[in-house]
Amino acid sequence: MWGLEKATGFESRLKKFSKKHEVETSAAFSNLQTYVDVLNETDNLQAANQQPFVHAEPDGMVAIDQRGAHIERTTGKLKATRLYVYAAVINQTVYLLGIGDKDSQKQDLQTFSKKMKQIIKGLGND
Amino acid sequence: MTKQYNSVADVLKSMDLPAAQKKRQVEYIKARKLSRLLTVMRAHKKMSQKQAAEKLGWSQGRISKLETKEDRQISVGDLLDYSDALGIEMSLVFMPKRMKIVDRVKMHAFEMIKLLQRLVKLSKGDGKMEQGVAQFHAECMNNLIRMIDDSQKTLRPKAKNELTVIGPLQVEQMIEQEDAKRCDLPYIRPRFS
Repeated sequence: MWGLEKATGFESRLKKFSKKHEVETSAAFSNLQTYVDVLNETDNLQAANQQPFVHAEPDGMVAIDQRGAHIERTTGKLKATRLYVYAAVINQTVYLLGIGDKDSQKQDLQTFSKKMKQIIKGLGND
Repeated sequence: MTKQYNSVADVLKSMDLPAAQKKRQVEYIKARKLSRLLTVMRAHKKMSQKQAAEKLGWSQGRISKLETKEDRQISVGDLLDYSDALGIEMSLVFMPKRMKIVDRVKMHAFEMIKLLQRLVKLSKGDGKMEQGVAQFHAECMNNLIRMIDDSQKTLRPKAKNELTVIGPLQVEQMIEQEDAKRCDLPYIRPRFS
């Protein structure tokens, strides 16, 4: 069965982001649960990565978006959200790397890619 | 060691977020159990949203909306159409609230017996069919025993490998015993002529 793990710094990042974009965060988390459920049911990473709310990023990292989020028109516009995760087949764990929006995407990709590489390195040393 | 969580709700509960926000976010996930199941079933069938949409004559957007909808907003008609597109039969089960897992296992077992009895009733009077149903009963029994045994095995702790030490005296005794057996063993069937 697949499990979930928070990478260092994930919680503080999420705390900051969800304060401004709670609806988007909820939807991204709901999609993350679907991602984990597909992994558990199919045991096929490709099947999970092919879901429409999953975006392929470099080196095996994926970004889960806020698809399904609904916001009243009067309260504002939805922010395109990316929840960055890495699914390690070796120990059946989905690592939660970080969260951000489209504006910070470039910087986020660099930051979270580094984190992911550290995790992969750690897994190799185990 | 970093903590591992079984579900996203557990991750959220572990976070240092305002309690009301955590509750809302967990509720959001809980409210989409059924729609999540639809995505999982489609993935299991190796079908894309586009393929499912083509089968139903719907737009891909409609499938996408259905798969992220709150459970309370999904109509039975949509579920029937969707399961039909996946080649799955839908059945509704009504059971007491908060039924224990053990009771659910028992409920399924009773349901199985009912179905087997239906097969028996159907086959009555037709020798060939009766034979087939009897064979099916045997298959069911074998498979169930194997599956339950497999499940139980995951529970049983692995036996530790024990080191067996045999001293020279015991070895000699074993050789003697083996020799004695060998003397008794060659049993030649008497020939009657």
